[in-house]
Amino acid sequence: MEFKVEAHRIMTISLGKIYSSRVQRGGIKLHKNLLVSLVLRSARQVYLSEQEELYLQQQQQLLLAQPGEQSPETWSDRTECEPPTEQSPSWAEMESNISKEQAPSWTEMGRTDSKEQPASWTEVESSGYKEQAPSWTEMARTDSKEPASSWTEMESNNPEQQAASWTEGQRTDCQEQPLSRVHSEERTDRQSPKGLEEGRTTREPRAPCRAVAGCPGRLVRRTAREQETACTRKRRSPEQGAAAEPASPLKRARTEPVVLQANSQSEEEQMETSSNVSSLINIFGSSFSGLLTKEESEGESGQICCDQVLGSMGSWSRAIVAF
Amino acid sequence: MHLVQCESIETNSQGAGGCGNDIQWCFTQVKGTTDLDVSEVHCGSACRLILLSMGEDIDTRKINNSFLRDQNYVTEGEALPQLPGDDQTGGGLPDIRIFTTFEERALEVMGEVEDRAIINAEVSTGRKADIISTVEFNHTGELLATGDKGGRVVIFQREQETKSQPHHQGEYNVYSTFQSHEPEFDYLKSLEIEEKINKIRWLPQQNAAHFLLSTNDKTIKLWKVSERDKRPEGYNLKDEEGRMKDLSTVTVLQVPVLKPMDLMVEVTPRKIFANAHTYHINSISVNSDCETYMSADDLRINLWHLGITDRSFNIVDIKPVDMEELTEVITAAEFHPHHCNLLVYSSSKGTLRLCDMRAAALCDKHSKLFEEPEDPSNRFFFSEITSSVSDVKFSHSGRYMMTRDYLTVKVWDLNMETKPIETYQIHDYLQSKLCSLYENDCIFDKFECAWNGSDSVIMTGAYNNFFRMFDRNTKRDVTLEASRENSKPRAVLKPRKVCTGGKRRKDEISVDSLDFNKKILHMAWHPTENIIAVAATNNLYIFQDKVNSEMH
Repeated sequence: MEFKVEAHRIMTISLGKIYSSRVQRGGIKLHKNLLVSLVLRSARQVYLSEQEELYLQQQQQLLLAQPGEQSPETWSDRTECEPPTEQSPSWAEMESNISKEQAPSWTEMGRTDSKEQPASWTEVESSGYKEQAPSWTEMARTDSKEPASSWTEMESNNPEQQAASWTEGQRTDCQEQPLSRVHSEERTDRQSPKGLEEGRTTREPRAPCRAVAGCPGRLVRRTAREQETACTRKRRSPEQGAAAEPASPLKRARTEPVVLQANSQSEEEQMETSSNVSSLINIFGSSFSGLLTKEESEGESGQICCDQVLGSMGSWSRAIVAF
Repeated sequence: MHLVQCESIETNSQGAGGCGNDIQWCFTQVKGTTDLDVSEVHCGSACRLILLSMGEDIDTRKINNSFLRDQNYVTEGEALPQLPGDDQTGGGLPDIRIFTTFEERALEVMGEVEDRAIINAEVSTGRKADIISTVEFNHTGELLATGDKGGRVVIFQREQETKSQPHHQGEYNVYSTFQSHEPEFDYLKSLEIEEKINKIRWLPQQNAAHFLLSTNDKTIKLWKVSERDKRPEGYNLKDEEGRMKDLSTVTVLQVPVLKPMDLMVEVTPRKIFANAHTYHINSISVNSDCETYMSADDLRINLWHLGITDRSFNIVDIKPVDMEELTEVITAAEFHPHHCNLLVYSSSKGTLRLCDMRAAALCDKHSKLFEEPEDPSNRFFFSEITSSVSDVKFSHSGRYMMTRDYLTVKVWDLNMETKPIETYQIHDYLQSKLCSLYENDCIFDKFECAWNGSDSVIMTGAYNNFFRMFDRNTKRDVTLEASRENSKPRAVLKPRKVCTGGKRRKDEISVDSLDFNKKILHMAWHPTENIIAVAATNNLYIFQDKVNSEMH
């Protein structure tokens, strides 16, 4: 854990060095900037690998916390899936779980564009989907009209609202203590709204079936990238083979009320993310603009972002090439 | 990795120590404006120059006016026994006289105590331009050149032995000073080009004059240093002051004769090698053929002929087609001392490449690659920085070469590419501090290293004005300090020790109290004798071994 903080600090310092080297006398020193960029890269790798480890840890904890679960929790964070038998009461829970899972993963992943994570999510998801297939078809039958449209509606909502609906989960009682602790740990360095913490603690341990888990899994995967791209991700999730998404009317109802706290929280993340990236943009000019654009991309987009970062790290060399 | 375990020198009761057949290093001279390191300067801080008289004279400062146009370069002379009460904190000042230097900057307070003058000089600021950036002896060791951040070169000459002043034997006095490089501005790229002298290299002497190459980031200059001690007199058309004579007064024709005059040292730029480097020049090296030399920047090495300035040959180019794929840069380069076709260059990845110019015109393909496989357990954030080679030096024999990276010095045998034959840890206790050293930029410091004349001892610098010497034969090492406190002439330097953990003994320094602003990056060893010149920020220290200094 402390490696992550350390890595982040080193990244910040490195960026500061690169930035200040542009204004120092005598021109940009190629050697020093190359070394700084190497440090930046390795710090980022450590930072992101720490993220992944933490995720894995959480999943382990979930597994331990709910030994009776059959859901493929390995592929999503905090997926608590109930056996498919409980359907009617589980819609609400499903929805809340979906949103719950989104928001925490936002907080965890908000600032990172990771290469490693899409990979892990992909494999996790594929395993998850296999198990979900039967339950999806089940859901499809019992689903309300236009499940796709419900997703679309959700997509059109901001991620903030997604998180907002998650906080609705406050009403449900959830004793996911270890998880919340993990979350609060991660957010020690951020201003986490109180509601967020509470919401987490009230997570429903009894989760709807894996069908729902499938969607959040993909959503979670998307959270590995920039927050703004979340909308586009959701758009694709129904296309990717998920059948009718359940609980659309419920979700619609829930997404309406926007909780300010969740808003501010996600805004914070947005700001934190964007400040980090914008500093890079300032340094490297347009090369980094790709990081902030809402582009449609698969899980590899995290990789693309990384490549952009890495590429942009060399873009200052382009300035030197102009010598 | 062959790690050479070096046992530290045991300090005997007198506190003397050394290595290399137990050389005892004695302080000889220090040259510098003030005692202050520019890094720690604040306005109004006091420093102390101990200026010691030789005889009955009270004010015996030897201020050489012949040089730096804007500062006094005070040379310290003969030692006298220390008076009681004279401690390092600056004593009492019975008498106060205030005067200003010619640039009206220094405030000097003189206290006279018997036949000795202790000058407390308050200077308004230490100047960053005084930071010495390179030190080099010439091939005989008679001349010592230093370059600084302000683009100036100061040449010291060793005094000849004379019977009249036996104490001044072997001392280096200022021979000449000149402004080598000026700050420039590249209008095309909107970049300022620093005037800091990166390297000075002497040419082997071929006639009465001395030649040296000095370089900043972009331009190399060849300077001719010559003496003039005679001048022609008795011109027919001009009188003694140079004015034209009235022709009517000329009745007799005379042949001008050469008459002796006061020795004057002239330094003139003979060649300027410019516009050949896109990146910052980090090394120059004169070939053993004495006709060509090379200059290396971050990505390219160029070969020049000393007589031709309008073109150079590019012999190494490691610039990738796409700059975004850049992974390493050239950090240092040197020609082999005997084989005029061999050169070696080091990279930021810690590798050395030996190139043979006979193989191809472009030496991109190395003939030998010297690389030590990295220990994967050592990988951490900063392992790439600490493995970057900052200096490479061939031994005088040409059989070995030495590389300095941030934490170690490695000696390589040219015949073995797989690993160095010796590795010396310089300041391994910094491993745990790499993060804070990264923050304050100290991890990017480029330390130099030096061989002694017989290739038996190697020397390199460290922090807190420490420098270390390793005897390759006896495997003993010593840590010495270059500081004004220890600077009594012919005082034997006491070995220092850094306490790495546990209990700190009396004379040891703990790692946390090391001053990372005081670093010894540049140094040189006399080619034949045991005389070393060590640059500590803006001061140049000259140490000789005890035997050497007593002989004279």
